Amino acid sequence: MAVTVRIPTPLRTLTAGKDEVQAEGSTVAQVIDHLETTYPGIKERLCDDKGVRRFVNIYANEEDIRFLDNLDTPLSDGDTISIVPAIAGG
Amino acid sequence: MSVASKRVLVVGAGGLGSPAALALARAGVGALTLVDDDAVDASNLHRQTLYREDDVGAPKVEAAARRLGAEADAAGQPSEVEVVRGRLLPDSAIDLVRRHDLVIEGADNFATKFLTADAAALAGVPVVQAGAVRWSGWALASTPGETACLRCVFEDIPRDRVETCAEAGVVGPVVGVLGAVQAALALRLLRGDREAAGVLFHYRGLEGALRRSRVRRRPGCPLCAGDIDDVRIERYVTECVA
Repeated sequence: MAVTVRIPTPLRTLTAGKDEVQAEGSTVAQVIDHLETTYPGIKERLCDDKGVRRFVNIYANEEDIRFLDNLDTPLSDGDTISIVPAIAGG
Repeated sequence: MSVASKRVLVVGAGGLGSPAALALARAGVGALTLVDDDAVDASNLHRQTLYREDDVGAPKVEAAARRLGAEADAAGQPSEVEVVRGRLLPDSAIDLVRRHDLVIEGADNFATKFLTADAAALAGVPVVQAGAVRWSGWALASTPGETACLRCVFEDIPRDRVETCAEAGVVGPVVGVLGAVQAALALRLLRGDREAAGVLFHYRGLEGALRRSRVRRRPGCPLCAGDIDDVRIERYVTECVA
């Protein structure tokens, strides 16, 4: 299952500056694990031992995964994952 | 519905507050109150569109009030502009918010963002918040007791290091877009359109993409559940946030 993952600015240091990457997985958790193999360190920035970090939001096709099945949210080929971190600047 | 009788509190007169306040003044909002503790710096001028080079060194709220008054007059929409020179503080936040019909928040730190969200909810006043760094940012309108709040979406002040605009910079048009989104959401709410709330806007300037996700109230959100019933300062103090 190939999905597109949109990478926010603060995490692009881990993706060689790429703002969008491809990853494999049939759930959000699998996609994050796959990202970690390609871009080491990214999982720790997204998740802690309780799940998705509190100041990070992950959207599967524009829907907040907290209101789907969280990290177990199923994905289909061609889906898009967006990562929206808390940002304070103004 | 006219907005001439409406009062709006603007927390943060920077890159987001500038375009938002300008739009509201020109749209005929009757009264604006500006809260900011900062002075105009030359490094602000590329994105903080309320200020000019000869304002450098002046308190932002005073320079902003002059400009907003002139803009409102120029648009034939006279607006009363009050200023609070200082940060939004826990001991006065709820009373200050309660004197307004809506709050726009574009502060540069998480403590003020969460204090504003809490004070608005406890005062029963809608709030439109936003944040931006480099090429991206977000905006969210919340109506108390009805739609998702800042704590539903981002839960609490991050304890990890998070970049701020002071460290990473912010691109002028990014806050221009998001400040304009805030103003549009504010005008919709002031006109009674409750559908404006509960949608998270995410702007990515390098893609030219403005996306929206409907966000729901989070089960267990302490603000929506009523577990947060005051704004004592301990809630907004962390060791790690810049």
